[in-house]
Amino acid sequence: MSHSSRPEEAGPTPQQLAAYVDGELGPADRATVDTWLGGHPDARADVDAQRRLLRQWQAAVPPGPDQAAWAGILARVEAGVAEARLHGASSRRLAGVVRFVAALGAVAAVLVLALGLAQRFAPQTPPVTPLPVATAEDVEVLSIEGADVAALVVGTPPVQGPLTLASADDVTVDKTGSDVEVAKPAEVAHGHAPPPPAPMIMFPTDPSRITAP
Amino acid sequence: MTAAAVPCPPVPSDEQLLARHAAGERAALEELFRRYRTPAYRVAFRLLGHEADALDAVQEGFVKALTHLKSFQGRSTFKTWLMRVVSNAALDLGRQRSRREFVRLDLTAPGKANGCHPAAPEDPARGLEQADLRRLLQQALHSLPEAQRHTFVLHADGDLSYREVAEVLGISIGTVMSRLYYARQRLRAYLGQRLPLDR
Repeated sequence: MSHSSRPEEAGPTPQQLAAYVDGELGPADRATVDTWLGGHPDARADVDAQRRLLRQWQAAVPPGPDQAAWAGILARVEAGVAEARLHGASSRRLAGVVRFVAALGAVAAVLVLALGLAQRFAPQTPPVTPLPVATAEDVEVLSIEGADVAALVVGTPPVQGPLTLASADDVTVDKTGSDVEVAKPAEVAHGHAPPPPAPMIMFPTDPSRITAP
Repeated sequence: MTAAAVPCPPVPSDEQLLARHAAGERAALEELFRRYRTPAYRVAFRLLGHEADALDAVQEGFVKALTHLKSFQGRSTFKTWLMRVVSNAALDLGRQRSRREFVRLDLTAPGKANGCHPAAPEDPARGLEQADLRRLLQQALHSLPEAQRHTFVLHADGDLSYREVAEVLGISIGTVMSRLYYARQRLRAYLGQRLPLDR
């Protein structure tokens, strides 16, 4: 260790003298202090007194335990280290479970929040306007082409209320005959179902040819 | 016929012993304990003045030092880490004890062995003198402020250099030098006429 000395006239600080006694000065500083002490007998006596104090201190070392006592301490240290590791491991496991549950809760909270936001901000499907259904009293057939007569079905409409068009995704056709075109959009009636199914009037011709009464 | 010289195995470093201990080698812990138990005990004894309490501090210090290795690794050596933990454990024990009762060092009863067992002195009279001297030095030591006492004991009994003491206490080397200087001044003043220090 090397410490800067004060100017030689001022001499070393008391702290440097203590370091000198402890052998903590570097060779250069030590030589400087040696030289300075040669001309300062009072400081030399102080250094010698410090050395005597340290010698007395070392001479009165604390009594040490015997080997059996040391063996007992070592055994307790080993047990303490093992217990601390065990406790640490179980604490880490518990902390792991807590972290897992917390993470699970966080994920659930995020999902709930996301679903709520999605429902709130999702584009709303426009309301479906039911198609009005004309009854037999609403129309009067004034004329019909001869070729279309076979397609004219006369009877009571199957529904009394307005019709709502359903898309192909809304219905499932379990069984079809060979004369049914499945690709056509189906018409599903919403409203009051009539008591018995009955034929309805179909107009395969141009609606402009139908006139209201 | 001459016997071939068997080379001594290299002495493992503290770091190697710690790694072997972490791998579960019991002998590594024994070696670390044997290596540092004496300076650790001396520091604890000087700070507490009582063998059983000092052993408690040593035990607690070793356990804490070994189970909190992450707290020191890379910043100090195991030796300074251990001394820090042991000396702090001793100071804590001393504070707890002083709350329960005034430190019972039997400092006023010369010749009484204070519950300790001097290391088999060859001459009983010399052992008695040592016990008296030790009690006198303990008295002087406990007249110091805690910071000076801690610093002085780490250096004088823990076999730590100025740099190591600074590392243990987290202070500068200049502060170590200053504390040691004033601690010695106080010790000399306290011992005064009791010991022939100035003659």
